[in-house]
Amino acid sequence: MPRAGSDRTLLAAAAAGDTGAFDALVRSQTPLMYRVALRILGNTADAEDVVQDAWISAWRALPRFRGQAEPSTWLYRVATNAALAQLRRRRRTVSLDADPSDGMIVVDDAVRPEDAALRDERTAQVHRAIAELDPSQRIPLVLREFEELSYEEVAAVLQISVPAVRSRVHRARTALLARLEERR
Amino acid sequence: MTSPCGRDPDWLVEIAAADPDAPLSRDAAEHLRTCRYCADRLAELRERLDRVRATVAPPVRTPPDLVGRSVAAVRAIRGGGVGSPVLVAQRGGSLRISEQVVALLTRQVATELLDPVAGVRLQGIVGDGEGLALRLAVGYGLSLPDVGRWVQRAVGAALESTLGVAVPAVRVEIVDLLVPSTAR
Repeated sequence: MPRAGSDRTLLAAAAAGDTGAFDALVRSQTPLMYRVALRILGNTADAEDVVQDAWISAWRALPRFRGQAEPSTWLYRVATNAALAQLRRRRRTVSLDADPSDGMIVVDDAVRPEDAALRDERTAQVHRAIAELDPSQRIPLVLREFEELSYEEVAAVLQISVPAVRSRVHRARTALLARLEERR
Repeated sequence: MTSPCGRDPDWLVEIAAADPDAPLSRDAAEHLRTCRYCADRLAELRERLDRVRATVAPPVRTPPDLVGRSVAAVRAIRGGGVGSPVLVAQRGGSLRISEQVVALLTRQVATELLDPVAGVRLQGIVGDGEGLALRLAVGYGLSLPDVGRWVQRAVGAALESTLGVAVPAVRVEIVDLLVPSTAR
């Protein structure tokens, strides 16, 4: 989760009308927004659009931010809502042929070309399998497994119960295993 | 496919999809102690999920200009960018449409217009106090003046149809070129 203290200060100042504070929040938290959007959408161009939409939504929602939620929870919620809206817009036009691993940066570069090719294929398979999950499973999976939020934090972000999060993450893992099995 | 021990293989998927620290039922624990096939298969499934985590976990590189574009997107929406509100004369009074609404509408109209268009992407919207500028990335090979004129006309017409009056100036800036490897 992002650091809470400074974000809370910036959010409080932004909610009080300090536009500079909001700009500072955008500067510090855009990497988080982009990472979450990319992991949910699996497409760099869509993720970039979503980040801008998310910040506009965040700015418009500022008057309703009264500090009840943790700033990180609020930011994750804004990012996931914007990503979900994009998924709904894209639902009819998403091409599963597109390489959803585009833009995912893998750090271990010191590998032989043939290993890199195999790794890239496996990486693409994994991202395709995640991209095919229903958003109701994909988003909890991304937040829990890849953003490493606790079940309670995911529940707070998605505003659903902890048992519901547990169930969706479990179903997502099951579906993911089934899809990867099909592609062996 | 059935396991050599006669169990439905899906029961292993269910166990693998559970949290790593989730306790096993007495029956499952006993079976996994005695059935080599199921124990190996469970290890294989768990390893597959670990590979998924390892594949998605590496850091994501934020596009270098995304922070700037996000700040500009918010600034364009929060006012001052359009120049002045739109006033619509009506019988018995007038309708005032705020700068913020005009900017939001322009963003929405441009997004919907360009979404299905191959080779043209909306990078962002900025306002300089005198009007809004649509910043575009355009595919290599397209006529930039033609694209610019078409976008300006189409967005202007869509805005005019919604607002019912002549629209504020909308400029088009082509700020990036989509080369074949990035023009998705």
